[in-house]
Amino acid sequence: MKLWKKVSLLCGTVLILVAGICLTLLIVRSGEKVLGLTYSYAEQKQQALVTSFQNMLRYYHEEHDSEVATRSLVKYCFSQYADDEAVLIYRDETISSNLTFDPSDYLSIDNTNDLPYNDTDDVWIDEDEKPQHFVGTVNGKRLLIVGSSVDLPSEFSHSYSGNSLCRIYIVQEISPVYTQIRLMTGQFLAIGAACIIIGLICIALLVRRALRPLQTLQNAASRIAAGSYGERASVSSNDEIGALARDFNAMAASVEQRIDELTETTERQRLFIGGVTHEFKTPLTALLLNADSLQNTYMEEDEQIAALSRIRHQAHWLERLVQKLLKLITLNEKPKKEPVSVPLLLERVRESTSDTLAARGVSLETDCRVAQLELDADLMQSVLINLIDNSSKASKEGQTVTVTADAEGFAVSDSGCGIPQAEIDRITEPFYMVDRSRSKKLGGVGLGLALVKEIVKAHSGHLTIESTVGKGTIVRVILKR
Amino acid sequence: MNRILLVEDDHAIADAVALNLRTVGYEVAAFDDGNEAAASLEKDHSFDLALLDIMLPGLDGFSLFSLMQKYNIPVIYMTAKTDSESEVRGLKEGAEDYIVKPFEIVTLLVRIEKVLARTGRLNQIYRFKEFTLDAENRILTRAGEPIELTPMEFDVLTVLMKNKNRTVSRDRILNEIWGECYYGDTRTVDVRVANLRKKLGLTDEIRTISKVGYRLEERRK
Repeated sequence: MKLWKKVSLLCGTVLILVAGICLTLLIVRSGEKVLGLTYSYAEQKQQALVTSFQNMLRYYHEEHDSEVATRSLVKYCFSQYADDEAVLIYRDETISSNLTFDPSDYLSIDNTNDLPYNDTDDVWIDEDEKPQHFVGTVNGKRLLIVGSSVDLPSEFSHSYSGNSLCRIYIVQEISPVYTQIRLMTGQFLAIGAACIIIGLICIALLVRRALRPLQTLQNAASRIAAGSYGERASVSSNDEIGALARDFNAMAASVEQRIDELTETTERQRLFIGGVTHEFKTPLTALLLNADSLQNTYMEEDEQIAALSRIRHQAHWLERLVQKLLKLITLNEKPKKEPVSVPLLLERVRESTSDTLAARGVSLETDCRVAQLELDADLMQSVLINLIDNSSKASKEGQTVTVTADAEGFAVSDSGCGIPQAEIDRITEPFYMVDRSRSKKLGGVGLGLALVKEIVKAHSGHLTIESTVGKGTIVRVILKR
Repeated sequence: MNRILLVEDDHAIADAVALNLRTVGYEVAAFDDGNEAAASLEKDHSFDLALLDIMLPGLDGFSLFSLMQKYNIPVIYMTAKTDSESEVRGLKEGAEDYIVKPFEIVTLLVRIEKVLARTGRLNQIYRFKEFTLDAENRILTRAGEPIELTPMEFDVLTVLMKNKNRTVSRDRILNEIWGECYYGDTRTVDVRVANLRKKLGLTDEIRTISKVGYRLEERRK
């Protein structure tokens, strides 16, 4: 189930629960209120009737009236105020009633506790004596019966031994009130349900809208997972989702960068391996052809010796190639940088290059302007030897190769044949040789400058090459930027 | 005698190829630089075939190709590039064939012979001492005198003379005569060789190379 559905469902449940409780309370309270109003209306009516009846009786009453006269007076007074709903019970006799039943069967009023009538108080009704009421079904009708005993002067009770001398009831049918309440309840429920439904729809829409950035984020994530690493999530909100999207984009960017690096590395390695394979083929062909000749072709002794020496030469060349390759491949380890005495380093370089330089008739000059540099001595020695070797190959007999060392790094310069401008960018590529056959004759395998470049890079430095054809070349190893 | 132009900058390869080509009787002119080869072609361009390396100092193999077309010289490329692009380019421009380094001399010799045969330049007359073998007309003469051989003996002798000074295995002799699909008894070769030695008096010259085959040796001293 989707998150927005879950959240909507949760909110909806809470909404329904709260709305249900509120609605129930509202309905119950309203019903009670309506009923209460009905009751109090009936009570007021009954009280008014009682008061009017008492007042009138008091007005017309004469002392020592006969019992018959009293009864007639009571009847008369009651009839002046009574309507269809009013019932008078006087001396257990129901007077003036349209009812087919006796309300005292349902609401018996016992006035044994009534206070005796007190003339001086001028009050006919005890304030505390509230009318009692009864609600019930009589003959299939819902009825409200409100009644109370009526205090009469004491002479009225003459020769009466019953429980209650005079009672007045109001009998009202209240089915319409209940119908009204039911109708109201129905309306409340309908309005409530409509509100809940509208609320649910609003919640769903709002939650969905609030969670839409999450969907955008998810789409972006799955597109990235599918391989389009350049994809980004376009979420610009300022909430947690926005923060998540920003972090996500940062993550995607770093993943993309890493992937790009890996792709580039893989491509470089593929090209390099292609180069290696190609480089191996030529000496292998020579080895095979010469061995084949020695095995299958009739050769004079001098020819055989020549073939053998070609084999040896090619094997040596292969060996050199393997050595350089190995150096290049194992260079991935970090150089061990430490303070190194530069004059000592240059002295060692001079020693290791003296034989080849002497053979080529080239001399080496060193100019040391710095005592110490932070570098890996073995690797830097290999850099300088390679550069000096290149320079001496480019030089003619009698020329000089100069190595300068200063705080920035090293520079190797010669006044040899130079490198064409168009080739300068390519000469540090593995196996790239400007003059292939000349370079091979001099024993080059095409990896020297590639190795130099890698070592300098591992020292976090860089290499610059300036050259003019016919005038010479300066290669600078810059260690500090 | 067929003349072959060889342009290859790696001397260890060029020397071995030239040596073998000369040994079997081709005349070879070898160059290690495209420009030099082109310059020399202006003076002398009567070659039957050119073997060209592709990566060369000076003019590269592809550039030399147009010169070869000008002088109507069929070309076989020798290349270390295995990528199909250069193969396609080489063949599209009309090279007769190409051979990928590293290769065997036998393969090179077979390809050369096929290209020469296809272009109608193959010299079918082979000489050894006072013998002359005309493979086209199937005639063998010794100092002008015809010698009778059985067809099988003639075929075996042709293979040996084509590969003069090179060891030829029994299997290869059979293959050259009956084609690749024939798996005959190699002893039939031994019988023919014995007959040839007797008939032509070449007991020493046709050397048995143990466990491999035979070699028709012409000592050059």
